[in-house]
Amino acid sequence: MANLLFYLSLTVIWIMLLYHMFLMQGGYFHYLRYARSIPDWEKNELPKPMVSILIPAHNEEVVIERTIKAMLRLEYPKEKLEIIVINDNSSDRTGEICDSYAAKYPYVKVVHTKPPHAGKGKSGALNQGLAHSTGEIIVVYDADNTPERKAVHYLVLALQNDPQAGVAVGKFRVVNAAKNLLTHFINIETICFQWMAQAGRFFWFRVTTIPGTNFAIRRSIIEKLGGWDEKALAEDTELTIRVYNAGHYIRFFPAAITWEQEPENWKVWWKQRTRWARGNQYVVLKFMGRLFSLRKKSIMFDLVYFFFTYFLFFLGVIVSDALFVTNLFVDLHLEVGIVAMILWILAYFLYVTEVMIALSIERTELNAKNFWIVLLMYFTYSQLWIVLVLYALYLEIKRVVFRQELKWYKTERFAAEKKSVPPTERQV
Amino acid sequence: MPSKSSISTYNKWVRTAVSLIMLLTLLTGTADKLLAAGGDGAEEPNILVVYTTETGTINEDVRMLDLVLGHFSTRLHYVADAELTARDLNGVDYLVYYGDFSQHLPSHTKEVMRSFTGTLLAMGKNAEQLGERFSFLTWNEQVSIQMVSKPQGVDPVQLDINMPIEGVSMEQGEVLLEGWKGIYAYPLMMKHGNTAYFASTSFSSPLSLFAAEAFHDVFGIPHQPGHLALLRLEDVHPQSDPKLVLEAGSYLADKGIPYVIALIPVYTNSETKELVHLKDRPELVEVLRTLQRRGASITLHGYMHYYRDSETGEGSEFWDMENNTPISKPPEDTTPIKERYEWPSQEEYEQYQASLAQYEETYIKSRIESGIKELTELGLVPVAFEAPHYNMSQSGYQITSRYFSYLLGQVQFNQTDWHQMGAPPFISKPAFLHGMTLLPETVGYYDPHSPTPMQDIRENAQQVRFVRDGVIGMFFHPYLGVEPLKELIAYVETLPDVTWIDVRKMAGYHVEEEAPDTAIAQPETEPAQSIEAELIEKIATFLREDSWTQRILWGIVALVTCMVLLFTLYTWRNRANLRKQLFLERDLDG
Repeated sequence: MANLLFYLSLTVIWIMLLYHMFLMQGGYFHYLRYARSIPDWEKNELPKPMVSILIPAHNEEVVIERTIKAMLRLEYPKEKLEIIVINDNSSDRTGEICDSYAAKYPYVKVVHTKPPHAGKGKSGALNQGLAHSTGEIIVVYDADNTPERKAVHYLVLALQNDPQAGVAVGKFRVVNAAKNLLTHFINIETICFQWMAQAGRFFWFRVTTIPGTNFAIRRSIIEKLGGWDEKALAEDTELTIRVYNAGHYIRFFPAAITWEQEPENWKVWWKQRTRWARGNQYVVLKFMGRLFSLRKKSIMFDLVYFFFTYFLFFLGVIVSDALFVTNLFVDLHLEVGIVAMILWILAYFLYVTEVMIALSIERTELNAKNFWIVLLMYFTYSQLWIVLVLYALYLEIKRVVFRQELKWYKTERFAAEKKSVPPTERQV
Repeated sequence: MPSKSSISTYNKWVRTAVSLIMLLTLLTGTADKLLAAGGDGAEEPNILVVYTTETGTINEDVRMLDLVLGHFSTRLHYVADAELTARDLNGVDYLVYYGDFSQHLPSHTKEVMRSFTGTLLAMGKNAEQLGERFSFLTWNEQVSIQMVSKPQGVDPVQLDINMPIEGVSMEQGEVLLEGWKGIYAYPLMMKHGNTAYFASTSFSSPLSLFAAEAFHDVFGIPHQPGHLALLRLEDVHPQSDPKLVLEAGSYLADKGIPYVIALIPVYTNSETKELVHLKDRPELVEVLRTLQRRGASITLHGYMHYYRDSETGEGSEFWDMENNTPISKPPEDTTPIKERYEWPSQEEYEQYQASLAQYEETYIKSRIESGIKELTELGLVPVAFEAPHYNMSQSGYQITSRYFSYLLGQVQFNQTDWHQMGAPPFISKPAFLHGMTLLPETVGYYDPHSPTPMQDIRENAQQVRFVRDGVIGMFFHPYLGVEPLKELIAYVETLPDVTWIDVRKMAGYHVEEEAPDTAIAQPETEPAQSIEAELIEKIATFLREDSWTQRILWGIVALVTCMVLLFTLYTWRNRANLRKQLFLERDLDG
């Protein structure tokens, strides 16, 4: 019995590890290729479309000014640009700051939401912003983002030259990476997420997840879809699936770069991640039921992947850990042999090399300090993920059982909506 | 450039030729080796060993010498230096002298030995007193050696510890063994005419191993090169899992490998004291009979494998470990053994000792006889004996020799301390085993607690292979499952020129195809297994047995290793392109 369980968990774990290995390979290919089309596209010199940038802001007085300044610096014809800050029921100076900029710059608009249309979370704010916008292309940034000058230019360029893409997604980087160990971890994690999960999936399956910030969507599509789902905790994952279901795909175009702040203390981090995990679990359960009726088969694959990540892989790790611990006290007669040992070590090597590639793509990240952090991360930060999923699962079950209503937790001060933690590389 | 087809034809030819040659070597080797230890003695040389030891009695080094000499002859005689008389030399072909420490030998001893004209082998100290024949040697300071080699033929062997040897320079003669200190070689064993010398007083492990090889040249018994292997499935007892025993045994039988099952007829649970006899486990008996029919040699491995409180398979049965004495009283009797001063007279003390010895004899006899009886009643024929933990008193060996002619494992060297034990590297019939032939265990066992179980065995086997007809003797616990066993066998199969020992064949026992119709308890009606349990069982067996799961796992290992290397390469390439990339991104960022 113990052997059977062991082999099952070994299988699940290694399916995931091999899949990630495969993704990383794709991510590397995408890195080598994505920029090749830029010169051709720029030569096309297509007329610039009208762009609306939506920035939902709820009590963001600390960061909103810097964000707006970054928007003003964007290299995009100002007559084709509108910057819409949705001041979502803020009780601080957010509205005031935004208004001062709106007064100075004609292309900056502020939408103040008031109850009952306020405080409904990010989805609600975005829907409000959408209603006030005129752009042919809608770009979304979080309130703590500082995009690079050409970010919007690249997002639009990708959509213009790839008629099949409904959404173009850029890359985000961590601005406060050097702050402390936690932000170092998050920095490495986000770089891996983008190159492995985003670039890798895009390369092999044309599948990318909308990370909640730094993406552009065609107005026609978001209108056809009826805007954002105000019930979804992870509104971006949810939107991703509906975009694919509507027959479009999402292009990952890492030339468009934004910098965002990440949580600097564990409490904030925990709250934010719990929300993501719960959100993703909600999405998996919502769509698993009609898995085979989805139009795009590739997104079906992605849902299965999520299912694996949040349920099977997670269970596999728990079972394998439980067996390991039990075996310390009671001899379970596990017949694993040397090969399991080797696999265990290889899993670690695989994890390290995967992370190293991702880091080496970013020009300043492959350094000695990060190397040591990566070695440490496997045994610390990555393992936290198990506890996190367990906790999220518990909350989600509680919600279903007690029919609690979902609430939107705003990430304190360092707000950043992005998606799906890269599933932790794990040992057997 | 030859065409593809011509290459494959050529390959086929070479392969056929090579296998034929190997087969021939194997065949000639086997016959010769099996005869080596089992010969009838008529042709064997008569060897007299004269020893100088501190106590004037046989010590561990002389025992070891006995074990090594037992490979070359069964006509072995031992006499202390002071007791040597001219008559002892009658009919002696080879005279061996062992000097444990420097001393002036009694003059009559010197005279007798000097008068001997046959081959004389001296070892250790005092050789210079043995006459002109040793004038080709000059003794210098002792040296410590770290490695031993033969002038040609086999790989040198590194020693685990530095061994002091007599520093000897020689004017003529032939070096049989060399000891190395750094880059300097010192003769360890040498021969000139019919005089030979071994330059160390230590004849226990590890130096005995090298001497064992060189003795072939001294005694002019060349023996064919090639090695033997002996495998025991260890500690099979009534509580052993019949499935695992069957699995291990069938695997070996399928491969045509003869092997030994070291069987303990009674199992005692150390906590409940419940006795389980083999006949109470019909399923296991059936398995053992099947395996015996398919070629397994059953060996009696004690009756219960313990003497005082311990679980079967854990304790020594024929040695009192607690007092480090022979068995002399019932286990529950805790009175200490009395010393001479506690008795008024020598006579009474001797009487007392005789009574202790009597107890031991009765005890050993009853245990061995019960063991043989219970096994043969079940149709299992013990063809050899293996003492639990290899411990037994000298008188114990004598008693055992009345029942068995083959002894497995290692042997205890003396009557006073069980720690003193060992085995020669080859099959041997030493004088102190009273006619029993020792099939040695030389390389240990598959130890799952060792981080490198196979490496341990390989290292030991490497040493044994220094000796031309060395036995790679090992054992394996079937409860570990068949996978490590496969690993073990796969390793032995990589060694060139190895023949498996078939103990049963040596003992001249042939099993009839039909199982004897002896009294065997009918299997109890087993409760019908539920379908789920059966299914789980099946899947589990499949995972364990079928090698494709293992193959897939190894496939993953190979794939992932490749990818890890590739990923490292990518990282390195990215790093190398860093400069280029900086310019590129600057352009992109505008």
